[in-house]
Amino acid sequence: MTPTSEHALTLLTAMLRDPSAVVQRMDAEGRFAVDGPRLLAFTVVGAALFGAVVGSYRGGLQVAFAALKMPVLLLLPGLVLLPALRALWALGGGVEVSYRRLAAAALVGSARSAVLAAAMGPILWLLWPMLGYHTAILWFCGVLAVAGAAGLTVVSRLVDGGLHAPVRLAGLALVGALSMQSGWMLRPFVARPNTDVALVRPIEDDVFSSLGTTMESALREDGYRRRRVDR
Amino acid sequence: MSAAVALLGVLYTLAGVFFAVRLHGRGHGLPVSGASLLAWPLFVPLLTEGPRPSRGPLADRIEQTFDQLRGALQDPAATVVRADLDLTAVQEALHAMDRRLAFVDGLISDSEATETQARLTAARMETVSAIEGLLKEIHDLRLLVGLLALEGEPEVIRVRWQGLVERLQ
Repeated sequence: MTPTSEHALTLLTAMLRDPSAVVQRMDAEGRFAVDGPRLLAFTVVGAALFGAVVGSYRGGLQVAFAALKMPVLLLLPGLVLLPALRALWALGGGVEVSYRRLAAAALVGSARSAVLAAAMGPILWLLWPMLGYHTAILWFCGVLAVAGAAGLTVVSRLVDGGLHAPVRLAGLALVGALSMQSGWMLRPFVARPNTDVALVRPIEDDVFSSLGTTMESALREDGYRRRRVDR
Repeated sequence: MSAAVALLGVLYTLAGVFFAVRLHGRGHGLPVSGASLLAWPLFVPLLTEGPRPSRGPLADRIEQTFDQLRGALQDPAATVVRADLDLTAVQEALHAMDRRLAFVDGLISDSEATETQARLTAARMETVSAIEGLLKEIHDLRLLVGLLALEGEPEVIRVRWQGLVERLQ
């Protein structure tokens, strides 16, 4: 094993076991320039793998499209929201976090989410043949929520003990809402079999109303399957 | 795709190119420049900090050795000694010695063969040996962490670390 790949594996293990220590190293020990690009590579590769699995529900060109869009989805909150989050924590809770530390946490958090999502990919891949379209979307959202939460905790821990719960929750809600709406705008990730493939769909409604509709459809889909089994 | 989205995309890419070129100019390698091209808002801190210190000829070995020790110290058994080892300070001291080597290398390559140059070369060799000896010690500490995991004796590591710090001073 080359030293570079050994360093990358050490970083990968540390990022999963003790992400706060990796953030600390990047912030205080001058490792930002070394670990930053590696963490970005983990994000891109992990998210692309997960995207490919998600796209395989439809197959064909959708595999490539979803693999291309998934890294954007996981990186977008970090790219867009850091100044807003920093301002919210400073104005709402009087907690100053350096931009360097926040950027390090965003890199570690997105890489952690991507690697965990990729690790859960095989579960979705095995489930796909058994799931209807709407149920598949709910599973996809569920896996993404679990992986996203693992990344979000890294950023949230930056202000452990120093911020009132409502301000902290507001910050998390901001990141969560942006991630969900970004996913909605970049859709489709899961596409119906035998439909035309599109990189992105036209903008309509928002993610929250759509999730409600999808949940209703998934319940109907489930009821229909059960009736068929009963017969 | 609307014109506004296309315009935003072009502006984002241009900003990425600007960041990549500036970071490359500050001595950062291809991985940093490439990463900043893709996700420049996350690499802003590298642009706002001072110029990157030069690296010595043994910088990669120092990084590798400390990364390996840090990896070993991730083991739950090493929790009892983790706080006692100030890895950052020792690593930075080794890098400082290493940077002096780079400075000396520049002087040697620019000068003619004289008695002073021979003395400088000998002193350089001594410093290289000193750094390598310390790196061996640190590598050995990694094995001691393994022993700690099996035998649960943290004092050996503390004593060895103290000896290493004293040698460095």
